[in-house]
Amino acid sequence: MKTALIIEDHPDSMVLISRLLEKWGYRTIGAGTGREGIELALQNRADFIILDIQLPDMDGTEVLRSIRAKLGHDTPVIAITSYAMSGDRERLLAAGCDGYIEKPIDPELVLSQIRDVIGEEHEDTDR
Amino acid sequence: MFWRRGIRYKLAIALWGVAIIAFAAAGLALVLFENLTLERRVGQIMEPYAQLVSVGTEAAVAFEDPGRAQEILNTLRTNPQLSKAEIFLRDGRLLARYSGRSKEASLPPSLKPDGVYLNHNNAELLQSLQDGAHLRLVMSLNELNRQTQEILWKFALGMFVLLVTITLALRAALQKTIIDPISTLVKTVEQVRTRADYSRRVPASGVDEVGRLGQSFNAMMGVIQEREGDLRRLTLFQRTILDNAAYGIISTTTEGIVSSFNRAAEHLLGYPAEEVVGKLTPVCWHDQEEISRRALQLSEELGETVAPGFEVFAVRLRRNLPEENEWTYIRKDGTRMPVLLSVTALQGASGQITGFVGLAYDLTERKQAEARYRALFENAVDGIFQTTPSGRFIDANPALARMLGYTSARELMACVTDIPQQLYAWPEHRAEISHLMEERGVVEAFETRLYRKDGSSIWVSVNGRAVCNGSGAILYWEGITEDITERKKAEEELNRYKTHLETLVQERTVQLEQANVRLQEMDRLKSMFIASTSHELRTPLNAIIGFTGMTLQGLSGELNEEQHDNLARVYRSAKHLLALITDIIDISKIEAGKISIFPEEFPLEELVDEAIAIVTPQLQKKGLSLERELPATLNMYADRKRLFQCLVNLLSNAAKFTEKGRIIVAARENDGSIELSVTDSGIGIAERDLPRLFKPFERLESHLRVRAGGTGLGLYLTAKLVADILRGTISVQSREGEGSTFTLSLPRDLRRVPEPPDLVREGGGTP
Repeated sequence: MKTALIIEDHPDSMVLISRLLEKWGYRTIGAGTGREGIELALQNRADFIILDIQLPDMDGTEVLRSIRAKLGHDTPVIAITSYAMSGDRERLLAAGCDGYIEKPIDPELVLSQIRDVIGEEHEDTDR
Repeated sequence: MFWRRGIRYKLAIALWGVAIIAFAAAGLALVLFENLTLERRVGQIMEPYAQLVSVGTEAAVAFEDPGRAQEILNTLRTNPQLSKAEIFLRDGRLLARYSGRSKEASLPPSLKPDGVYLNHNNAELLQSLQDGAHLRLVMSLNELNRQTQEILWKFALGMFVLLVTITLALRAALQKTIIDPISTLVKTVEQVRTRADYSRRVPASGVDEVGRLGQSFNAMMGVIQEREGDLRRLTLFQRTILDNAAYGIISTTTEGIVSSFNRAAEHLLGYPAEEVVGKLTPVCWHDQEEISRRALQLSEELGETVAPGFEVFAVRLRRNLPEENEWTYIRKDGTRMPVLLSVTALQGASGQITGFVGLAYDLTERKQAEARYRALFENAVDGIFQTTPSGRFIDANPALARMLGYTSARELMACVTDIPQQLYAWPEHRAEISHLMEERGVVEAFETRLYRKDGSSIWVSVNGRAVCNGSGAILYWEGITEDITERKKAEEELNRYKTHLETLVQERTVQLEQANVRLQEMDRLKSMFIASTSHELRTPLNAIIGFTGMTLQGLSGELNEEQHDNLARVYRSAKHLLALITDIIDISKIEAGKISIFPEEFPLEELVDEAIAIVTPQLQKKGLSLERELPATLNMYADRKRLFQCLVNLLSNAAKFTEKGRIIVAARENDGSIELSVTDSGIGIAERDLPRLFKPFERLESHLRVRAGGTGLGLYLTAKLVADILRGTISVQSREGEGSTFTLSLPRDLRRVPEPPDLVREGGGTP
């Protein structure tokens, strides 16, 4: 069972993503701030990280850079943006993201998006 | 009588005279010659006979034999001219004697010496013989005289014929070479004289005096003809001038009798020339009173009595003074007119006056103009002046006097003798005007203050010019002075208002600047508000959509049909609301100019396929087919996300408003631009709706609208994105009931499109 670290300040979003991942059979760890997220990332050796770009204490790209600096490129990081601005995608990919999800999270699509990034076979084709 | 005859006659007389004289002289010479040679000729005839006798009678004398001597002497008969021969012995006795004719008494021998002696009609030869004897031979001259006469006759006849021939030949020659040319010349000259025909010429050849005379005559005629032509032209010229001159030209004799009167004069005075030529002026057209006044005036001026007649025009000219005056002319019809009459004396070669010419110019119009100008001058509202540069009035009009507080222009001109000091409140202004006059010759709207008579002052505006003579020296100034005191007051008033207004404007500007700062602050706050709204409105919606979606997927347990339906409606509404918010945020950002452009290079085909994928579920639900007509490899450089947004918008609109048929996505490149079109076979758009198509919340009055759904901002936002972000245009072609085609015309490469200055391309991240 793979473990996902979810760095997300908004409780509803946190719950939604955690629940969805758990339903699909992943273990989740949650972090409400950027610092906590970096800390947990270093401690727990998550298989992949879901990172909200808008965090109260730090900018998401900062968090990403810290994690990349310490863990290297082994752990895929999937960014979540509140409203995908043109340029966000480029900015995030340039900062070292492996993929990104736009809010609102569509339960019908998000699983396949994550699986694409972390390199898992699609188990189903539900939409 | 002789002297009056022609040259031909005189020459004939002369020739004949010379011939006669020659004839006489020759005759005389011949006679003279014959006489002179007579003695020698007689000697030549007689001496051989004497010699013969002398030798023959030698013995007879010696022996005093008369028979022998007689024999000898008788041989002389052979020459009948010898009339007598006698031989005398020394003692004077006659030895022998021969006589040809009669028994003439023998004369005793004279004691003359030997030789030939001529008598009246015979010649006598005496020769001494031997022993003192003498021979005396007498010869008759009749024969010789007859011979001489014969010779003379022959000579006279020959001479006569010769002389006549010579004279006739000479006459003929003279006739041809001298007389005929001269007669022709004379005839020609007479013709020229009588007919004044200067074109005649004489035949003139040869180099002798007659030839040269003819040539000179012809040359002279040439010159005369030329002069004649010149004279004719000059006369014509004069005639033309006189006939067409604008001036009346009247010439008179020294006594004042009119000798010519040109057309202008006829026109001027109304008299025909033939009516006045030959009459004494001043006759009909001068005012006698005026002449008398002028006579008095001239008498006074010249210190001698001038009669009131023609002398008033001539007296000054006789003293080499010019004569030009204004007169009143009385026309034939009695009307009067002012004229300027200028009289000139005509002078002969020696300087004596031979006549007068008067030029009369009609002054009526000038007088009228002067009167008009005077009226203007007198009645003008503005002051008009003429002053010397040094500051004295030459003329001023009543308005100027009034303006300066004087009762009349005369008073003004009498009182003010130093304009700079007496009139100018600032005399340096007068100096400035003086400078301007010298530099530029004009002064325009020069404003200054002048003192009035009572010491008060007025503001005036001076417009003037310098009047110069031919060489450019200033004679005087003239111009107009306008009283602008009232205007100045108004200007001052206006200035006060202006100053006040400026203060107000400044205050208001400060207020506005403050307001502007506040507005900018508010704008910033609005932007911040929109940014936070974006986030804040969407966060709860994200939760709603997320959880509803999760539940609808059955991840939280099975739902019954009604629960599923309810949740599905919540889900759709939430999605709609999200779309609406997203559109509003986009539009407000575009309108605020805050949107950023993120161009990149991408294959168009890939983008189109992604957009098609988004609408595929909708199409499948309705059973619509989709065709794409795309060039295989076409890359674009543009804001991919925004183009994607536009294309999805157009495709979902097409899907929304089409119930059956197909949708075509087509793209083609044309000279650096790409035309991307979406065609449907849907309901189409009524023509009346087309203008409202790209406006916000303009959902069209379509029977399908209830079912269509959508934010109502889609096309508005699309058009804005196309124009502001993609830098292209959007157009639509549609027919109600048949379908629509939306076409985006976009630059293939945004880098090749000039940048509008107010758009930010990069930077500006998430709001």
